[in-house]
Amino acid sequence: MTLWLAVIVTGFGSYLMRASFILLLAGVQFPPRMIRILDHVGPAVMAALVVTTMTSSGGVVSATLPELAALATMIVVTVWRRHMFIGLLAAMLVYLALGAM
Amino acid sequence: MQKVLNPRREAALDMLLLFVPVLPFALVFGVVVVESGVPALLGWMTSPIVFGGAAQLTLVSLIGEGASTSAAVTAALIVTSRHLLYSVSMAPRFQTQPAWFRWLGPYMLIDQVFALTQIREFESERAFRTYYLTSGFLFWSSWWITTGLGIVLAPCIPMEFGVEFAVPLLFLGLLILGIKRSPQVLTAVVSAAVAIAFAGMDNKLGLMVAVFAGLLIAVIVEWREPS
Repeated sequence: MTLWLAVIVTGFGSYLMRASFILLLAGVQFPPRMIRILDHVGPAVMAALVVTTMTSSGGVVSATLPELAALATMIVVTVWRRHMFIGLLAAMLVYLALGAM
Repeated sequence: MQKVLNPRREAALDMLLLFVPVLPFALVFGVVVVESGVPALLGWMTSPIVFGGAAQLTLVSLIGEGASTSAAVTAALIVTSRHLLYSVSMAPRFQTQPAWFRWLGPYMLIDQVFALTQIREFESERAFRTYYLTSGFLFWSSWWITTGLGIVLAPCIPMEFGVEFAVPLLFLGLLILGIKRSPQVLTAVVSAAVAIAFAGMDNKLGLMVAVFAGLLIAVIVEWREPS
């Protein structure tokens, strides 16, 4: 019973965080400068997520050579082709090829 | 920035691509549920109720490790606190949407849906809504089904997947495609560097420290620009 309550509280809390500002600020006029600052939320979170998803459960960030090569490939190909699927395909190929060597 | 012409079809294709690397994560979550000893149904129901992989994983694994439920809930909510920022960032966009969508939309405001709306351009409010709901619903249903599969198949799942590395690669791709102006590059670099420096913090709190460091730089840079 306590476990179900824990799940429901976590679910409700997650929803509240996601809904909070969308609902609270529904009628608020945003100054242009504020909108420009909000444009940085995506890059800040995505960059941190790249690092977090490469962090071990012990809290250590480490990257092997194939991983570094794959990250570099992802940057170059995505900037060049402006297409995520092509970037991902190239990066995974590099990653798997170097990993197999 | 690619303009969305056929929201339903493009949402489905985009979401499919983003779900591929999530699939092993969904299966691993199933294994974690089984190993943690929480009832399978309860573990599975975290998928529709919480709908956030990192929060679910934190909640279930901490309970499995014998943490108190209040500690597990707190940790899960800390892990998921970046959604507060998605909420602020998306607020202007939701202002022109109908009220029912302002209530329903946040339920699906996960990393992938947020990131996709940042890299796409929409020709109408309706196109945005259709794209958002289609991608959100597809991700939600896929997540629900595959985490269930993970629980059922847990005993026969090998734990070595090479595809896991696609997850950071995808976030990197979403980061690059989401950059529209050069000051955003500085924000991303600062955030990544701080995330590395604070990677050892409990509950992945380093992520939020990094995001706030990046946003602090953003405030300084944008403040100096004439508006």
